[in-house]
Amino acid sequence: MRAYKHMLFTLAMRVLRQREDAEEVTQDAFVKAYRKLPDFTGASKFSTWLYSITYHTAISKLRSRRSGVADLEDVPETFLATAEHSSATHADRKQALELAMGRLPAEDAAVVSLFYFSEQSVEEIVTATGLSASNVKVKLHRSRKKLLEVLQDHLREELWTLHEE
Amino acid sequence: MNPHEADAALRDLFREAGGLDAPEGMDARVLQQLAGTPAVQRERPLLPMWAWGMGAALVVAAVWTARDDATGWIPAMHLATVLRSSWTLMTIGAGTLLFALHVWLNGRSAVARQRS
Repeated sequence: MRAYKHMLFTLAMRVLRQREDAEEVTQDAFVKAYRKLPDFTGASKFSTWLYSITYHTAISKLRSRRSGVADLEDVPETFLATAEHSSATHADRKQALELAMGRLPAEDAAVVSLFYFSEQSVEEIVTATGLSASNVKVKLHRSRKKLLEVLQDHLREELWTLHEE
Repeated sequence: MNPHEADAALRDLFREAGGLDAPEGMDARVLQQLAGTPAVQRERPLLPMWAWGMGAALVVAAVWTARDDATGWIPAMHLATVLRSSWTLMTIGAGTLLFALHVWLNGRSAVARQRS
């Protein structure tokens, strides 16, 4: 549980953007995983299986909370503060990333988190989310574009130099 | 910046930013919840699929052994007569119905497990 709790909580937060709900979903996901353990066949990685349970639990929670897509109202205040420094620090970059992620629809944010943060392949994301491969690719393409737009606004050249370091 | 470079830059950024810390005490709450949740044992079908396959293979083998020119432990029989017999037809019908019931019940329990 220790190995996965931060990853699962991060995924739940990407979808729900509320700590209380994300915590509830992460707890539920662990309990469901425990109960469904006999059904785990090993067809996918254990982490992918856990992501799948967490993703579906979070999406159900989101749908029960309200229909539709998360918007800026859901983004915590601290995420909305913009970094105005010419040279972005680690905290600025993290803040800019949170801001950019907050602008993505919940489902897209989950796909992005699985791809970039959890380093899952497209095939594994398909397994975890139940979305089609083409849908995942479209979401990644669209999200990448949107993330870069927001990050460019807030980090300017920092994003590109970070990769080159 | 091409998509691959953008992916690499974003991955670096996500790695640098790290994940969000799960709330303190979550482990204990999960364990507490689990303490009151008995593990659900997977319901195993009464007859596994290989048993059905083996049963079917045995029937075919018995019929094959007992075809017109057989001299084995099963008395020789005329295949056409056997297949036309109402007993054979009833056996085939009952077997098919039981197999369909088995598949249907397995499907229902899989759906129930998924919903839970």
